[in-house]
Amino acid sequence: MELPNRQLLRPDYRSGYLDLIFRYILSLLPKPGKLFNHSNDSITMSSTTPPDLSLSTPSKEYPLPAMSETEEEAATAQHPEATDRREKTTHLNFMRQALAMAERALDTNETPVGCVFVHKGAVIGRGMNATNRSYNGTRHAEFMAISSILSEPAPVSPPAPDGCGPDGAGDRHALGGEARGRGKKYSPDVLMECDLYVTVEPCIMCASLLRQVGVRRVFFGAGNEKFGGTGGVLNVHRGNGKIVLDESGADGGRRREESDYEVSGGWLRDEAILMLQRFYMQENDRAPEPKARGKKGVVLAGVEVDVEVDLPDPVRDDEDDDLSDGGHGTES
Amino acid sequence: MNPKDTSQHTPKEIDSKLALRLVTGRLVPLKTTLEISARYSVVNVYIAAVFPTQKASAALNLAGKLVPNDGGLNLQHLSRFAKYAELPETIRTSISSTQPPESPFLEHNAKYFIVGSTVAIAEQDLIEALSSVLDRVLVYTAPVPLLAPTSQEQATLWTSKYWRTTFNKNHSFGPHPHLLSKGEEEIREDVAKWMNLAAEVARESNKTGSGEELGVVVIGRWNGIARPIAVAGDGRWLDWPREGYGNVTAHAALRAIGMVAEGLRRKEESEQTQGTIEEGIFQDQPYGVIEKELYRPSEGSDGYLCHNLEIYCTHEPCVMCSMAIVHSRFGKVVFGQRMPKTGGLCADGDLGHGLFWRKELNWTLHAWHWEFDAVGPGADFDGNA
Ligand SMILES: [Zn+2]
Ligand SMILES: [Zn+2]
Repeated sequence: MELPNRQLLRPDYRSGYLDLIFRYILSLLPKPGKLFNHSNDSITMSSTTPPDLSLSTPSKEYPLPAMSETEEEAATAQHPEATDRREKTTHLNFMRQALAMAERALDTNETPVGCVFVHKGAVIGRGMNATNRSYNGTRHAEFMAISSILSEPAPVSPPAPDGCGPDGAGDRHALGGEARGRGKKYSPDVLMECDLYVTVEPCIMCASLLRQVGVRRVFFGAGNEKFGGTGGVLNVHRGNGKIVLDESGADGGRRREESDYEVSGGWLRDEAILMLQRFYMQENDRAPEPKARGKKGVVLAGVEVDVEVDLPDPVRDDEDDDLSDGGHGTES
Repeated sequence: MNPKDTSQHTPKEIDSKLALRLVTGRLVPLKTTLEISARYSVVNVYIAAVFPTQKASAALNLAGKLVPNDGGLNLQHLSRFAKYAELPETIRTSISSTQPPESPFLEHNAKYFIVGSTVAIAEQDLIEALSSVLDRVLVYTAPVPLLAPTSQEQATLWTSKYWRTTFNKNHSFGPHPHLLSKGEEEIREDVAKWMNLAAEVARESNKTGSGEELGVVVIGRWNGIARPIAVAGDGRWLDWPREGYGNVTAHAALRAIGMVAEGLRRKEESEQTQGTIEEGIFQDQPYGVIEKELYRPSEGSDGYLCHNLEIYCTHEPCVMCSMAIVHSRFGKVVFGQRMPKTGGLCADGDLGHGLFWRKELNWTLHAWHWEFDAVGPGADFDGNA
């Protein structure tokens, strides 16, 4: 959906990160129509009314899966509102932990995007963006978290004392000694039972990674209109992003595929954006050297900021900087 | 493992290394998503005859009020007016079948114009409104191209098929044709060499069991001289249980990007200040013989990721790797086998993402499919490359 009057608000708006801020500002304005298009048949986030923006609550409710099979849970399920609140609190709690990771990234001058992987109700891995530190533009929080989970060595003895989820050593993915002979705590298919909480919508690359490792559900904070792979630009979580046109030419008629995963956005979005804003201020204060202009940028987790480009100062002329507009399209 | 960059391999030595299995082919530039969609999308519009022709501007004004902004369409590539003689033959036939032979609507110079999208107003309402300014009203519905044509040939075809269409060469749907052909000239001479090298490292990966038969070569080109910087085979089964899809972070392209990054890090950070980077599950160290031999990270890019380097892949990279290539700001990508079900680069595969050139993304690069003259390596692989 086209955002209204974007050009008027900011004629030279270019970076993905500023885009986020814009979306945030614009989202505060009343506007009709669909805000999210990353729904699928099993979850509905498409909306004809604006989400409640008064609080940092998710834009749309997630249909509630049974949390456990105990009688107590079953009883709670008869009172949807109560379960609803409990469920929401759980998600917000994990998202706060993801935000804590983003904050850590901020402290080390990395773009503040953080995430946690949750397995059977417990966090088993954390990640934060590491693109600057590694000189590698693919080291996004999701990659870092998956790497840390799957490379964690198997505890020698006693087996899994600190537990790896409520099931402890009984968990078939955490084999106490070693997972499938790798000498690791977790076997790769543990990810198929994991939910991801990430402060910014996964980019297309990470959305594909998540699909390939078989993650179960993804909860994110801020949407990412520039790089997003779970609704922002593509819908990789559904049918690998393939667009199936039905007879009327509308995008629909998708069948659910095995590696599809569920996605819910808007969780603590304001906090996630605030974190990006803080990063932006911080990088501005660090005043990059002029000679680095056009060369060095800060590599973000699927959101890109060219530090000295797109300053909010309207007097500044950035027209000579060709970096943010990409390569061959703008060369002459 | 800390490969030193002292060995000086000349391209000649690489040549002889690859002389055994020389596979030739030709470069075919990829189509962008815009080029693909422009070809197929049509939209229904109302077209009205103007009689008498002096009422043209009055009719146009009215249409502007009835269907503001053409009903949300951008039809800049279509002429607003067309003469009867300029209408496609099929339309002329159907108009003439409903009109008496002496009808003014059938005169050569009879004027017709596009009112706008059929979604915006009901036909009956339109006819009623038009009869307030025109003496006689004729309205028909016809498909017209939704997006601007990407070439003069396309414009000519559309004119004969739909409506007068103009081609604007400044309207961009993909890489600038001049830059694209300049780029192709640059790589044409040695593309076969790098593609063969990619095939070679793919075979090695497969043979050693470290991965599938997939491989990539990263090239830097300075003053017209191309040098390999990193060569990587697929590494999904390195230190990994043989089940599922393997280590997704060890796809050949990601490994090569990691190798280049590691080189940059070593160059930028002196040994004292060098931080430790935990390896985790990443396979960013050269592993096989070819990988070690040709790993020369000090010849790396201009210091920012893989800025303007070239990457040659045996297979069209998966969605993840395609986006990784965009994130890393490569300048050119060439791949051998198309992967319609899983590939992220092509705009005309099953997925149609065309990630090498999309307006939303902040980086675009040139991309070619290298059509083999023979069967390439790993031809039966159908997973995520
Ligand atoms: Zn990402
Ligand atoms: Zn891949």
